[in-house]
Amino acid sequence: MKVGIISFAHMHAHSYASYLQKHPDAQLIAVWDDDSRRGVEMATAYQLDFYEDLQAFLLSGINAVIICSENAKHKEHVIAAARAKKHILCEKPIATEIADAREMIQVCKQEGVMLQVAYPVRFAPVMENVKQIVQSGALGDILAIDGTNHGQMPGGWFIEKELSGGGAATDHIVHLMDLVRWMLQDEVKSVYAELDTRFYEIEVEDCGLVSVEMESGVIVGIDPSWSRPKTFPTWGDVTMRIVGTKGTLDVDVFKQHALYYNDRDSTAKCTLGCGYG
Amino acid sequence: MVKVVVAGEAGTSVKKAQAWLRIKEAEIVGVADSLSSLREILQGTEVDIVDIGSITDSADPWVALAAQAGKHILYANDSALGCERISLCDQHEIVLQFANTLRFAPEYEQAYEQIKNGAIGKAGVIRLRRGAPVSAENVGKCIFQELGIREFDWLRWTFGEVERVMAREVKRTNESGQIVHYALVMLRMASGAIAHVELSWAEGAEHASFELTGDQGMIAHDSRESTPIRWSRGEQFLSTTFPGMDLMQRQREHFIRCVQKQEVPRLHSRDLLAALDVALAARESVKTGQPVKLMHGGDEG
Repeated sequence: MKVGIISFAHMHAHSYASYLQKHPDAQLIAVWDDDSRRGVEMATAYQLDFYEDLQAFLLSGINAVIICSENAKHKEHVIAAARAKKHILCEKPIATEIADAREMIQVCKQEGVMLQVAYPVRFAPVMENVKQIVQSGALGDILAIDGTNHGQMPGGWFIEKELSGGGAATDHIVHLMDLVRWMLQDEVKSVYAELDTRFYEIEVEDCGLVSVEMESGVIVGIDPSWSRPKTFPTWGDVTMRIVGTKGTLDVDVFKQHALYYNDRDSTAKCTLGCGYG
Repeated sequence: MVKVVVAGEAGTSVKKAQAWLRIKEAEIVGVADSLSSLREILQGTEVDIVDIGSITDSADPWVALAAQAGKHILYANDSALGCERISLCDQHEIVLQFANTLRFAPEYEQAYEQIKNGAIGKAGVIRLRRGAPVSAENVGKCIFQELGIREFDWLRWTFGEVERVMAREVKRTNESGQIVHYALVMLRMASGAIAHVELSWAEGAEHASFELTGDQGMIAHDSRESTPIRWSRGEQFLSTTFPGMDLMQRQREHFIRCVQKQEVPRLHSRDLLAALDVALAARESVKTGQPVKLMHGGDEG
């Protein structure tokens, strides 16, 4: 399968590029970027053809695209790719407005192409295992899930509202909400949130808490804050406490690590698989 | 020498007595295991302090008896004490102290001092957890009042008044017919900080933790990772308290200094009432499904 990347605005584009290059069934061949300097640089780094024109890129013989543009541009790029009959993996969040997301899904359906949104935590072996435990009934009836997806403040376009659609809430709530819906096969009944900007002098929210009640009565807490200090040994976390009538499961998805205390740089860093940050 | 009576149901007062025995300025002059024995001791003996342990029925008559006799009171189960008893103590100008507080728990006390010294800068998101096993004792009890009050008090003490409370609560019956009980509380402080309190009667063992984040740093503590002595023996797990960090003793030393008017009580009864207000707001929020605004009555700085 031939794949192209639409924009390297999101840093995860690098991870996709290097994984695709290792994948035996995939061929990463093309890149389009509205920042042509970045596009040329990435084309050189990953030995790809760079296209300045999106239509030309879509006609380059690719079967699928990975979209790593700024959140607000997802809609335009997903629709363009769908119209060109390309299958799509789009970075999360799918869009910055619900109406946009619906339209994107509708167009992809019409055009008969696959639209996937990047929720890599679903594919973390830890999470697959957790889902099995929950669904096997080993925890009994689930009462609650208290989760965190903490991070450090990413900067760049992530804190420009017109490009990102929002800050920590936009960036981080979706991961946990997706995991909860996926594991419990349940939908949200009501939501309450306190959001604020308290860590940085920026225009978007950098912290907050979300309180959710699911249709089944399960209660959920989500902390999406960019509250990890600069000295924190890793990028952030994805944690969940899953409370059931037969027991409680504490999950820290990226906790399998070693800690490296480095006097040369005065840092302490987690090493080994510390997640997708 | 301060003269102390240790009061409470038989068998509950050993730990308290031990704590008093370690204090040089104090002397135990009596142990009362019933209301009538407390009455007798108070009539026939010179007493300064009555240390009242947890009592299955209402502790109100015990508190009333000691207060009317003009004795200073250290009381274990603060959440069960109503406004009437508290104002009775105020009328008799006695020092009323509550044993069930985090203000003397070493990690919480130190975190309070660090926060006041600006260690984390402007507070952002505050996360607190407290869990205990399922227990028949807790059936019908208010989880916010019984389990949450210490956390609510510590939050007010450390970060100031609470402005808004949103809470959700779930109860389910497990296979052995016990009630598993869990709640999540979100508080917006008047300072703007946002706090998360997890309260759980669904745990294998007691535990508590906090994570305090601000724009200059973070302080984290987890009781499960903060045990100087871990003792594993087959299935059993026993942990011990480090004697140098004994909060029971430190609280009693502070209490004596309050009785001697050298210090003002760290936990005033009006603070306890304010923490109770937060617990009641959480309960109200569960009922309505809406956030509850709190009126500020306290003068906490």
